[in-house]
Amino acid sequence: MSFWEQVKNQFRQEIPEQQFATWIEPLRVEETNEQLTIVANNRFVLQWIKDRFLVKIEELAKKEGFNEVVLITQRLEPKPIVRSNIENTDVTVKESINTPYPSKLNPQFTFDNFIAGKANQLARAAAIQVAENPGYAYNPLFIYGGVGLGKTHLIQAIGNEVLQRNPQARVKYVHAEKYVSDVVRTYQHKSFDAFKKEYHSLDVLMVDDIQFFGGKTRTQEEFFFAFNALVESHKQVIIACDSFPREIVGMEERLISRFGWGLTVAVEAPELEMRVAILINKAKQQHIELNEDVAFFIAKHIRSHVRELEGALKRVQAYSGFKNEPITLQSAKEALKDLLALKHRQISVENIQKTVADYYKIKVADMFSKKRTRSLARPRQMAMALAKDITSLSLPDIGEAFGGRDHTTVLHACRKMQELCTSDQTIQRDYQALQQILSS
Amino acid sequence: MRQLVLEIPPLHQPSLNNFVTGNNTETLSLLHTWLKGHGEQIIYLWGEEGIGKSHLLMALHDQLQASQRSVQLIKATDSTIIDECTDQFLLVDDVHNLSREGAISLFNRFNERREQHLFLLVSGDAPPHQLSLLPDLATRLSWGLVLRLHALSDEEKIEALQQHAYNLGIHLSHELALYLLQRWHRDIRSLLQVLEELNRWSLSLHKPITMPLIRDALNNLREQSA
Repeated sequence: MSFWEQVKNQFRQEIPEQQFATWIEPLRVEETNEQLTIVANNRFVLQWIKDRFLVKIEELAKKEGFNEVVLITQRLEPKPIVRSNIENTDVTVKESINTPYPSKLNPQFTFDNFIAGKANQLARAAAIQVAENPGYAYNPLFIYGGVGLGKTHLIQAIGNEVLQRNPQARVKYVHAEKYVSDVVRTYQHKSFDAFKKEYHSLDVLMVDDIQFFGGKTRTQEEFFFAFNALVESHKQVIIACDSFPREIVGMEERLISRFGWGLTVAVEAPELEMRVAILINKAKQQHIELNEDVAFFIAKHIRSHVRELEGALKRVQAYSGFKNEPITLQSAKEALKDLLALKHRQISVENIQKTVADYYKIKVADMFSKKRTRSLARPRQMAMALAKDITSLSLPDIGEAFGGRDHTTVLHACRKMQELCTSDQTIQRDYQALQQILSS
Repeated sequence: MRQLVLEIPPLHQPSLNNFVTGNNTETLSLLHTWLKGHGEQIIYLWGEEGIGKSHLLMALHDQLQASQRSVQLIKATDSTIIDECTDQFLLVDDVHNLSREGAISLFNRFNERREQHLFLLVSGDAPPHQLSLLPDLATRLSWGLVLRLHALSDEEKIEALQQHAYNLGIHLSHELALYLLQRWHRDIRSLLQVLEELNRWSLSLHKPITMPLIRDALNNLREQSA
């Protein structure tokens, strides 16, 4: 067994599998008489190895008789950027290029592993243009869409691409929450100059989940200045948000209007084929054997967002690992049965209507009828209120399911039930009992 | 009739060994893997009230501490804010109790932990998509490994009661355990707590645990809580 194989075995035992697969496994190594050269795919990996694993590698290398460990990135002409001389303890690590700006980017978010589909093709195309021509293509680039649809992946992919093309670029990814706390800290320490210097001198600023700025006037003011400084000097601003600019609650008009200066694009929920592709790609990345029929099964049942899709894949993998069996359609069904049972129940208004009708001994047809006698109207209102509580349907959708009623009728039903639950013990008990029946 | 003291003390020290597994073998096995720092780094554990989530989290915390891992356990309430945490393992119990601010703080910790390859285990009373929490946090909880903790069957609850009685040094027949199960809160936490109370009650009266003694004690507890 080669020395590097021994090192890998050691890490395999000491660090989580996922970390091992991400950082250690892809490294290439050249062993000469006295020198161990480690080649990382890119500078992110290199930095990661340097920060977390280099000391251990050096220790093992020294025991094996190597004098030097050299860490390089994969380039046409490899240029050592971290070199350690084991014999000389005074100079253990030497940097030979400028330390890059701490971008806070996750190197794993790239365009290569971003699955494209109808739901995100426009956003992806815009993101690529921005990455190729930061500050000039669309400024700002405003990407919006529901939670868990890949906005963070997309904006970080821009940052990683910009850095790939220009490693010296000052690229900063910041979550809106972090920006808010930075502003608070700046006010506490009166360190406005340092704050401005940092944010106003960037080449690319990415702010994720900007809806968190809502109602925070100081933060918005600071961001307004940073935004102006950057855009005026053709530096790129990229924003991700869960809603369209005009719909952000508590956001100042002057910022909303500026968000529309560049390009505003939506990321929508992925369609079936895209969900399948996401699963297969994710499985490949993690070296999981996943048949297409299993991927289709998971994708057909998990429709909400990409995160839940990935979570479902992990669940299926964990189950097969526990059973020590390969992933099959059967094992996937077994692993996800709790989740799927809940989902099926959750989306069924029909089930609620039938359960409530049975409970009050009326006909299901009375749920849709126009009759307003109390003995029918109460159960109908009860069913509407339960549908609002238990399902994720909107008020108009619920109204539609109850014989094409208006959403204000549903709203009235929900308020009425809320009121009755506090004033009438029988109604309260019925409501709780029905809730239990439906969720058991 | 003597009055029972209603203040029910906490159960014996929770551990993974005294957790009644029931239909949760897979979940337990995956938690053991997580303890070793292997497998998925972020776990969301959900199940109904009183089926042992807090017991498990406390047991995991103690086990991690015993194996010299840096760990923090936080029991969430509506005023909890989860501060920055550099411990390798972070456990957050009862996430459904968090306020919006609390949820935002956990959202931040989640992102940090994911980035830094640190471990996080969160428990709650519903699956992620049914939590009334900040959607940004709820969707992230569905991103990791989502495990359900199943309630014990009646027969398993009876076995658990008998086993716990045995650990307390008393004999509890199947008939008495069933009697208790049918007349008290059905979740295992309440059942084990009341068994410990019954034990104290029987010791102070110098009488064995019998059906009349259980009946009197339960009536007493109900009266006090009314």
